[in-house]
Amino acid sequence: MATILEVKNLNKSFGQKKILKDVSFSIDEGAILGFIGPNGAGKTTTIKLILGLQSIDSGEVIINGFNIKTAFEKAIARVGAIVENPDSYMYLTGRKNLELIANTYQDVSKERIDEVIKITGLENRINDKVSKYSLGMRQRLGIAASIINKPNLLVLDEPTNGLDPEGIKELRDLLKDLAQKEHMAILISSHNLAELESFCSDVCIIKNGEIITTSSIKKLKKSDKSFYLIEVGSTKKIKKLLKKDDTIIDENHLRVLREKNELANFIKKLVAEDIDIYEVKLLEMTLEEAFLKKAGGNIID
Amino acid sequence: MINLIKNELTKIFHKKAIYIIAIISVVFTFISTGIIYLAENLSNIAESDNYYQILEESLKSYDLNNREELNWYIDEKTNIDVHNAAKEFPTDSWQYYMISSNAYEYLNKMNVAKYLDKDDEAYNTLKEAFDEYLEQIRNNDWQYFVNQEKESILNTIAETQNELADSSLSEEERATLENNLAVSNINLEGVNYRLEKNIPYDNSNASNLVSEYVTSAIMYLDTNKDEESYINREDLINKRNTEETYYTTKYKLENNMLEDSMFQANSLLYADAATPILFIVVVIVMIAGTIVSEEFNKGTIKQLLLRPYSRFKILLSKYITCLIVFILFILFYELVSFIAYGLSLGFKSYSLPIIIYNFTTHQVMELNLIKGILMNFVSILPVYIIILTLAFFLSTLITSSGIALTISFLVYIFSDILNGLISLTNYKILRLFPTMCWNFNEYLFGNIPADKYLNFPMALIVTIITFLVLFVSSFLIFKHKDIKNQ
Repeated sequence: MATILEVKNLNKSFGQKKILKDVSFSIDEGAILGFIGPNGAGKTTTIKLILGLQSIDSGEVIINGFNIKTAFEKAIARVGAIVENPDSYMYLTGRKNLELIANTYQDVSKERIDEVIKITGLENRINDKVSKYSLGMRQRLGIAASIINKPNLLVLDEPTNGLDPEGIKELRDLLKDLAQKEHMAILISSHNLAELESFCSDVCIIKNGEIITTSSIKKLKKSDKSFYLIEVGSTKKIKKLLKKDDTIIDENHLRVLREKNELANFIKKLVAEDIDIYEVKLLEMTLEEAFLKKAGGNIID
Repeated sequence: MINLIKNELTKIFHKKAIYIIAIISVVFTFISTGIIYLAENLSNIAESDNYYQILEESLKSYDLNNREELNWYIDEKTNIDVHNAAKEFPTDSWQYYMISSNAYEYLNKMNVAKYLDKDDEAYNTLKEAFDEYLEQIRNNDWQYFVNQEKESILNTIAETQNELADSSLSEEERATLENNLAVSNINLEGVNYRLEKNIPYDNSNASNLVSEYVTSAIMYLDTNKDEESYINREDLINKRNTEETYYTTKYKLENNMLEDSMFQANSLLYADAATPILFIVVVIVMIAGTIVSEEFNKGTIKQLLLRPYSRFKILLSKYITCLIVFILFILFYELVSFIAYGLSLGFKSYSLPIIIYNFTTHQVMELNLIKGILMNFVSILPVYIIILTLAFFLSTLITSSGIALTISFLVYIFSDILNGLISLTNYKILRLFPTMCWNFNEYLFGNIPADKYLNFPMALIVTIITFLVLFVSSFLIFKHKDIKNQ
């Protein structure tokens, strides 16, 4: 499979503050990469560097084999994107907005405009002014605009904002379709992994400007290990029994990562070592934590 | 690139504001030409019979025993008498004009004899003379009056020549007499023009043209000196104005352009093009001041920059769009003015040429109206372009439409005041300020600017540099701008 987008060691600073540190990842044709991180982690900045909206301090962005910095016009030609908000000209109709964008490409026909209107389900309201649209409809219009040039790389920054659950479901189906049928590579950012988990093929987590980890969702889903909190009489003699992902929290508490049968063995060992066990509790985890657990770390705090 | 420009035009022409300004300008133009039309015809309204009836009523309140009030009474009464004598003739006839301007003298004397001196004999003699005068006017023979004046001028000339023959005259006396002779000769020329071209004394353009010619020719006698000898700039400008009037009026008389005046549609349209039009400046500032900043304010800049065009092309297409809108509105404004002036002053004059005096060749030239308007337009084009580029630059730099609009507009509004203040000083360096240099209308046809420190090459260089600085920095700023996160 061809690599559509390749991001290599991106660095970006605003003044003294380092916003991105060596950010690298890539997306293949037909893949959907969920780009996850808390607000302020550098998601939007990364996307803006990819799209040439902000200058790159160091590193490279290659789209379809073209460097965004040196061959902008060629690199951006087959990209569609929504950054931050689905901004459109409020005083124009939805159709006029699409026409303006279509005009900037040589091969976008009138039929294609009608097609994207149909795909995004805007037929009834397309001739209304955008100022009369709800946020959800503007989001749809933004998506229609971003796929009008039949891109092979679609970059969506928090596209689920403003969509109701029904809308989010529709968006998922649409994106899956685009990835499968049109072999688009899709980069989709969100601060909520749960939203993306069901349809992304890969996930990439960013925090404080650094990529923490990248993994495929399949690997993540295979996992059935859980964290358990164990209260004991003393944690002093336990150290030798611990594995890589286990931690001693204080004199009486420790946290371990085990499958169910492994946990039973572990408790037996504790008993054998004559350690008092007061409580064993399964820790409820968010998908994010689960992902991190699988990815081998407890770095997010 | 053409598609980008088309897109920009679509965005602009889908905004309501631009149509509102256009409508305001149409209304404003029609009102102002309507005022010109009224002003032209106002004199007739003021002199209506109604007005004189009221005046007559007021006469009754005067106390004729009071010396001072009697004087006023005589003055008012004379005015009424003049009107009564004149109204026998249509208001646009030469008779009406002659009575209005000459009968006061006769009638005043008569009234003085009647009311002040109470001398019936004198009154009767004066009345006879006046009746004879009226009889002559009724004869519809205006040449009679012109010939009368001609005779008197010829007499004066003969007398002056006689006096000049006297060899005992001092240098000074001789100079005075020679000057008098020259003045009389000009007056004679004026009278001859009237006889030759059938121009009676009346309120027509032709008659005014003769008067204007005579006046300027007499003034030109005094001012026609070497320009180097003028120390004061104002005097030099006055001399040039006199020279221009003298040659152009003469040209018009000699070439039978007797109807040509400042108050005809073609002259007004030509003159309008010589100064920047506020309406156009408003449109320019509004378009150029928002075309970049608004995209930033509304966030649409991101969508725009994602298109397969370099930032240079995107900004250039916006700049070209501003120029296109500017040209469209100039054409629109010219069309509206063309119709408005045509409706109020007649369309006929549009086929006539504009008469120009060229100070380089010292010759009068005829200029096709369109060519004349174009020349004026090109001469003030830098004002528009600098304001446009300034608004565009600020729009790119600050990305705040409000600030870009306000600053650019204030620069234009206060440029006149600022230029006036600079002209009062003697610092040459201040003349390098762009607003001092950006209007080239003063240099047209070999003319000189009112400010003695200004000159064309300097003004041109300053204007070009100003433009380049604004234009180039707009592109540099835009090229390196990071699209900030919200």
